[in-house]
Amino acid sequence: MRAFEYVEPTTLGEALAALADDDARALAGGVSLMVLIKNRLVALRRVVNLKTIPGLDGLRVGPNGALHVGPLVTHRTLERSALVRERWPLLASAAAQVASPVIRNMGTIGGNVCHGDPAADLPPALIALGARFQIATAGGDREIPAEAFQRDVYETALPPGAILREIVVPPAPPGSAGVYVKLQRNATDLAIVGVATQLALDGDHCRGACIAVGAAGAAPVRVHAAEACLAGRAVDEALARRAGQLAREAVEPLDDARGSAWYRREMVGVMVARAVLAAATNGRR
Amino acid sequence: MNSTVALRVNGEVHEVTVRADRTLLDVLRHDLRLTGTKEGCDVGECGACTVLLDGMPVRACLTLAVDVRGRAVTTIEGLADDGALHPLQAAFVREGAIQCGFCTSGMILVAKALLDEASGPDAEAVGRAISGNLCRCTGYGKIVSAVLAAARSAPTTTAQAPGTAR
Repeated sequence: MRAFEYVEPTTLGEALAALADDDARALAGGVSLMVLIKNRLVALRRVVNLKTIPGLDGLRVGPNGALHVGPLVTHRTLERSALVRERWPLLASAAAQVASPVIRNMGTIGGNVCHGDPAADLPPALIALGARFQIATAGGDREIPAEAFQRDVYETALPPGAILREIVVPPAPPGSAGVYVKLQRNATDLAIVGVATQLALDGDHCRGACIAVGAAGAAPVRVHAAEACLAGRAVDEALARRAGQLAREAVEPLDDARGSAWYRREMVGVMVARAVLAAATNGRR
Repeated sequence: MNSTVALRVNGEVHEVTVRADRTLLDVLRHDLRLTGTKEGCDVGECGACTVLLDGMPVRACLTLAVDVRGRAVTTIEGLADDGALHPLQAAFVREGAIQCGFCTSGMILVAKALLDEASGPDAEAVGRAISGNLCRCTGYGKIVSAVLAAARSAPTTTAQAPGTAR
């Protein structure tokens, strides 16, 4: 690799100052950034290690029941957390399916979100959960909803030099069920299609749905038409398939090495139906 | 820009002066001459470079050497105790789980981490644990058998003794 300057800040302020340079990048788990550097996909002169700042790896429930996740929380921590598995199973499910176990030991939620890979697993889950991202910038803090965060392939709404400081996931109402289903070529691959579904259920009856699809476009998207068809209805196979059909029509997938656009479109239909049915089944238990 | 960092590897502290862009894999192999850890893909996908960091498996090829300061690194060289093979190493040999040997270090270290925290894993749990370690030779069957055999044969290697009545 080409030489770069390496900085170990101990405060967010120091990190923001170090990131003010155009060619500076934040280092979290390293599983995305290091690959970018080795493949020469990023020009950089300075690496700013966020792991030397205390307090960015917290996982706690706030006073109003929301989950506050520090950006350096690893996928391993999320998938194993009893708290997350019980109250936000969609998030635990998505984290458990990222890459491979060893990558999950290192990779972080913040990195997964800020890297901007359209096939990443956590962004659709965070969108379906209505998460909000707290961003620290040199000029002050701001908040960006998960739904608005990814703009294009490897391009997010994170302002240059800013740091994602916390992810806030609202409390899920009782009777909620969520699941992440991932179509992949092998056990550790990126998604061909990834679907995150969060249902608000009253027994069989779906009060509302949030469905986000990843890897089927330049950015993960919510499929509103599919969500609307579920609202106020009892979820059965036929309804799940209908939701899949509506989702299939709503996405704009891209061609890449893992799948062609037409195949991805077909698979969105299949995977949305599966996700809806799985979430409804989980909700019944 | 070089920095001097004290790396704790297999219980010994090594002071190395390295450029910040050097990976732990590179420093282990070239500066410390610990060549048991292998470079396969160099992008974190094959698992041949897996080492333990404070007991947890990580990809050495995606870890900056300077970022490891203060943490304990365990490589395959750190497993044998005074020349006596670790039960996992012995099991791999006995079960015929080693062909070319390139994946072996990573496999054994991932298995060690599994056995250190789970008593008596089943084949499925072993398969999940090694799902990020590729082997092109063995077809994985004997690797899984070796890990299961090691789990059965050496209760003292695990945090809790596995049930011998399995």
